[in-house]
Amino acid sequence: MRRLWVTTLPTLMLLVVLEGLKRAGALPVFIPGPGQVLAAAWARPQLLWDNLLPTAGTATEGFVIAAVVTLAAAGIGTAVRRVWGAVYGLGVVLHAIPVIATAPLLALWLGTGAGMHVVIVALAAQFPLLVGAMQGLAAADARQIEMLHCLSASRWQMFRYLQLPSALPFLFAGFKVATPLAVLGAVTAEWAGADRGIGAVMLNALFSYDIVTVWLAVLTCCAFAGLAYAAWSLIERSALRWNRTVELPT
Amino acid sequence: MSSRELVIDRVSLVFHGRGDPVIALDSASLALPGGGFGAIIGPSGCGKSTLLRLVADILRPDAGSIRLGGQTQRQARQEHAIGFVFQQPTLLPWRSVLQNVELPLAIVGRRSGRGGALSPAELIELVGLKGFENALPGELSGGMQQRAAIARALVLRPDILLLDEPFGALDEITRQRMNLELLRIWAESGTTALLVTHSIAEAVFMADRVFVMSPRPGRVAQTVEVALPRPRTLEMMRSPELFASANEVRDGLFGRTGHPSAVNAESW
Repeated sequence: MRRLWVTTLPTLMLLVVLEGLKRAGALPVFIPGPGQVLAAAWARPQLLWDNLLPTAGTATEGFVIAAVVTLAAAGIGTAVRRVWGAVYGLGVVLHAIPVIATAPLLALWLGTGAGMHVVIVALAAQFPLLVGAMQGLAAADARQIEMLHCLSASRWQMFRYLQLPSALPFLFAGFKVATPLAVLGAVTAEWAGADRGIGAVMLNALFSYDIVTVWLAVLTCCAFAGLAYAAWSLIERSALRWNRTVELPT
Repeated sequence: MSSRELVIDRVSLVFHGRGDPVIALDSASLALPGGGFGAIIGPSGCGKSTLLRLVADILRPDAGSIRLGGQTQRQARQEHAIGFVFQQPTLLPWRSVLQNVELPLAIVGRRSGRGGALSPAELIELVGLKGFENALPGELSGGMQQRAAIARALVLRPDILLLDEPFGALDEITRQRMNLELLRIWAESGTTALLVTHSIAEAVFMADRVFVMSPRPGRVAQTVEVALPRPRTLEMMRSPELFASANEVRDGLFGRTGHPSAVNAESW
């Protein structure tokens, strides 16, 4: 509980300060007070739900696909050392392509449907997932490998008993960095063409100078990515109990 | 229980690193009867650990042969006849003590018949870790972790137990106690044991046969038979037989003149 406080306090303080500044008239007209945004959310909860769900769905789907593909690619890169660099190189190049530019092009190619959205999310989220999986699968302790070799462990057993558990802290780090990127990717994809979704709400509101709704969409993205991040942290804490134990003196 | 005779016959190994090739072992030979306790002693860098890794089939020799009960080291490893205790405990930190000790059984498969006379729980009791079955390695002291590693090495009832300075990181007092326990466990299990150490007292106290190695290139320079009876007790540390054997080992390491040639070669 204390931890939760410490984590969320700076954000809450920022919101309070913004509200104070707004009421004092110190903020320009295009920055609404958090209170106004909250009131807008309260007034139209249906708008929020109807549009958050498709965005969340796209982000999750693309994230899962990116996680599976990068883990497989990292597995290949680890098993066949010669392609290690090639896998990394491909990941870097894909990551370097600005999603904001590829989104409209992919929309022309794949149409503006769910398929295009998922592809863009996967592209936006893949790199931290790839780095986590590559570093993680290579992180197994050399002595532990020898220990399992002495036991004549098969390659699969080596993966299952040593490499995968050793990779978990790295994988979780990748998950946590990639989560907000997946949400951002989903919003960007919706800008390139969508009738529903937080990105679509954002774009429509921008064009109609509906400042409060723009900010409502922005804060909804933040809240969703933040909650997903918190969920990862909780799963990590219970899955990696061993990683926090301290060694006692002899 | 079964044990295997170990015969290392003129084994050589050259490491090809970045610089000039290093001759790690040059025609090293030793023989240890089944059920015996051997110790390899020598200065750092003489190839003690390398020799042990060759027996465990972690490294392959360039020349020479190794036989464990008539089989090659690869066959012996694949039959899970070799138990290895490393310098570090090398426990999997995400598995509890019990799960770590059970790991070899999980890898071999419980139907293989390689399961020991002693269950993992009984082995944990044997090494004095009863009550810590569910602790994670990170919650244990170094000595306790190494005991768990010994239990793990014994769970498949190995015919030969290889120990690479298992208590090197422990203080003298804990180390002495662990050595006594190791002797008790070895006597109960009936396995052949080969211990790498750089303590003369430890080598003579533990072993029936001490192999003295000289460095650069690494080879077995001398074999010293220790005439102490079993079971060994701490009182024997003061016996004339132990002193005689220790002196013989010391002569093998430094030469009878007391000129520390081996040590000099190392420190230069």
